[in-house]
Amino acid sequence: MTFLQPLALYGLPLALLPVIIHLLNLLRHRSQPWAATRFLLQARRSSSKLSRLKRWLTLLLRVLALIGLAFALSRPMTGGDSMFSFSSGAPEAIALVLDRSASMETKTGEGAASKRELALKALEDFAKPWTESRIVLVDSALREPVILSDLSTLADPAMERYLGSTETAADIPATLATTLDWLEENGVATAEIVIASDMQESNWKPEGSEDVLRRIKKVLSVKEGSWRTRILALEGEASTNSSILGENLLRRSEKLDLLANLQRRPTGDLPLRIMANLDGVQSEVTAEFKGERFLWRASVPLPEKKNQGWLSLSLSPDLCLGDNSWYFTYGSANRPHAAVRADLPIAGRILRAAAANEKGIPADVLPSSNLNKEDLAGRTLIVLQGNPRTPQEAELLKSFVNGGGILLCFPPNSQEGIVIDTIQWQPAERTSDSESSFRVNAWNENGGILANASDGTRLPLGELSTTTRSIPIGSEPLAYFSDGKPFLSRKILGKGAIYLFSTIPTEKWSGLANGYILVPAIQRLMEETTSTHSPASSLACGSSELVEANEIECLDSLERKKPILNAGVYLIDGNMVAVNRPHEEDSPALLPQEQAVDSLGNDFVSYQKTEALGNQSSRAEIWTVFLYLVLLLLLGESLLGLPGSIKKRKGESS
Amino acid sequence: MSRRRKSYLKYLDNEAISRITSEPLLTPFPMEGSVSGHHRSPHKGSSVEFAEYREYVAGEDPRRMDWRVYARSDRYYLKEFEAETNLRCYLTLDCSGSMGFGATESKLEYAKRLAATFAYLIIGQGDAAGLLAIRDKKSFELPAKRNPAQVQEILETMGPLKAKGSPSLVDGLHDLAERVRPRGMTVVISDFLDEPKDLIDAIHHLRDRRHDIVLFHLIDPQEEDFPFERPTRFVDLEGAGSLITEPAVIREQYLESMKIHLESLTQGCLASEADHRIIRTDVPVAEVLDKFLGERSSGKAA
Repeated sequence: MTFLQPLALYGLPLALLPVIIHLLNLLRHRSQPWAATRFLLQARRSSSKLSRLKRWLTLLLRVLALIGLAFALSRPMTGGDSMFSFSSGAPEAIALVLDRSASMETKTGEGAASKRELALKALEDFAKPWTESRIVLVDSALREPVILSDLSTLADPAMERYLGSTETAADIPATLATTLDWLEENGVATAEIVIASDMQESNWKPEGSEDVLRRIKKVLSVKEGSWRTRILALEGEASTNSSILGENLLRRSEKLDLLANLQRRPTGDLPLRIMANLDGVQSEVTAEFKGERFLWRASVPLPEKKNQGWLSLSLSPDLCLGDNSWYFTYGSANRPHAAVRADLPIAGRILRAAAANEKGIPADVLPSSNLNKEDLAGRTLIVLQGNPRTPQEAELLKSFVNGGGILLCFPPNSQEGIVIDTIQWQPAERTSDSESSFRVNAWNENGGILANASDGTRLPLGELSTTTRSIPIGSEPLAYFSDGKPFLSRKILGKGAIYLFSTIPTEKWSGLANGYILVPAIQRLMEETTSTHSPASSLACGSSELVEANEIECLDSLERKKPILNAGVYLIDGNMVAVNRPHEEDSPALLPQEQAVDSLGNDFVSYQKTEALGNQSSRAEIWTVFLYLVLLLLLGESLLGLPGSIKKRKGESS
Repeated sequence: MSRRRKSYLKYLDNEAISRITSEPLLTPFPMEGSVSGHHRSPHKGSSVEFAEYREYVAGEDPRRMDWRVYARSDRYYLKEFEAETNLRCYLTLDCSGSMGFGATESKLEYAKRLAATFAYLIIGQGDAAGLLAIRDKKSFELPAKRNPAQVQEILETMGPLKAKGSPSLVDGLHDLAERVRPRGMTVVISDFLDEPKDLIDAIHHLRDRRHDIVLFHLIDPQEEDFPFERPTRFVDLEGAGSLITEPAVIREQYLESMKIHLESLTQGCLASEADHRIIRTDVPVAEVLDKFLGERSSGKAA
């Protein structure tokens, strides 16, 4: 409970007036000569406890009535954190940190408002009584503090840029840090900070934002409660929802092969209708599946041979609009040539053959020394057996990967050479006897470059015989030998990735040379580099590259969409780019309440769930309640005094 | 007549005197007077009121023999008539400290007016009136006389009396019962704040002596209404100390105690055929006496 006129609470001591008057009356008694003292003595002796109780009760009611009056005059408000807060309750500023991620477009029921709309309504109700407070809005998509002149601005269509729906992911710690910076820069002494979020764990980034969270904690603790933080948790799932998450789009000569994850809730067995828009031509496709999840593979014929184009897939509107669309771009069917450099010539020949293009032309050969930028220009896949010769070469290859290229590495035959980034090879390790070998027994059959074929056939990794291996250090394992050491690893570097096999396709090292594993793996890497999902033609909505873009044109819609806010297909600085919601927006993991509060510091942070939002919204003046209470107390006081008198008078008249 | 004597005449209520001199005060009980009067005597006399026939006994006065009865029955009978005698009225005035209480006029002043007027009426109809003023173990007494100067004597005796001391009415009444032998009327004017049981015993004692007892129970309006609200220090007029209390808290209990006291007295008086009359001191004396005499003459009183 807070008070709009806390000065009136200084009148609370006046509630003691009846007691003081009572005591003064006792002190200032008058003397009365009296004859019938015997009756007085008898009366005092037999004066019942009820009479005394009535007397004290009357006094108590008078005191309570005055307290109630003081409270009524102080204009109390409901909805405070504590039982009573003797502050004015009117902060200098009210700051709303608005989660505008795609998942905030979820509605918990038919006809209900989205979580983002609920958050705005909550802010409006929360700030309504505090007309003198400044209201500042910081949304997660733009992270630009916007000062609202008044609450009606929230309904202004011109504010759509700052309040509307987006397909972005949110970085709540960074957004909150921006808010705190603004409050500090503007010298705000007292503030109410409301963080409205659906508590998606990926938006709160408990791992990866430690420094920011530490700074937030420090700032909030320094303010010692003058900046109070409330987390409005807009929890709750949509009861019915379908979502699409694009995995891959491959350009064939006359068709597009697409791969997408479909989900629906509740589980059903009806076909899912999907609207496809290929370069502006709409058609409807049907995905037939039973159950909750489905990895959907489909082919879309290309009516005309274009070098570049786009495809959008949309589901019917449901309770969560943010996950109903996905956008792809496609390019030429001709793949750029891969290039190979190998210390071992036999390995080089095998790798060139495995990296041949669709016409069967083997991959290019890179110079064995003095590798330069021109050698890598236009390439998307480099196959490297051995280490770079010089630090310059290592730096060149690293920047190639950072720029979106893929580097496929095989162990060096010797320990000579320079390491790339932090990756190091352990010394070569041979099996103890000639008949045994290192066996691969764990890999991802559903995705990645070792996934099963489209007809479900497994790659024969179990039959692969490896007699010599060299394990890379500093990368993430993707497939394992039976002793737990990695067979295949990956390290993401910038926009690209480095894949590392732990053996070489030569007879002395392993059976990779037979091609049953090596060819599909390298071909898939080549497809990946040419697919629309490569970093060059697909970006996450709201990513930093989009902020730096100069010329932007929306291709999939006539609406004036912005790639930093909305998913779609855009022509950005001359390049066709599919902008989609970040993958992490589809993660259902929620941040637990304790962790959310802990991450900001326990002392001055309160947590209110969606159910409490109604109470928060019903924040209102309740002085009338106190006024009625005063009237009731006075009525009670009168009733305590009246009945005896009436009875007495009746007795007299009879 | 001196100025001082003149001042005591104020106790005579002119309105009462002018209103009720024609109405004689009668008593339902036989009285023993010294001379002939309006009141029934326990003895037979020569009035016109027939009493009874009685057989003649030798030695009695033959003049009272009824010759007509003798002529019819040849037997000697005496025809007896009621004796009518005068009344001896003892006005007993309580002068204890509590009688000094009164918002506008003290109960004692009211009692003096009532007693003086009553004495005037008694003597005016040829009866004798005496005075017994009881104050703190001391009594001021005037024997009952029927000469008109007795009014003046009564006025001068009670005029200077002040309310003072502890209650001693009960002892005074017992003393009166013992000392006054002839039957008479005893009028007690008091606030009767003594123990009801003691008072009733004293009344019984007087009744045993065949006195006609009239109790004028004086109550001040403040005592009956108890109109106090603020905390008050009540100082006892009979020297029993003081009491600080909140009247609003004890009002109901006070009135209840008073009611019980009055009911006890009334019941005791009914049992002993004493005439108990509760008089508020804001009621004019003339009205009180008019009602009293009216009820007496119509036989309503005890």
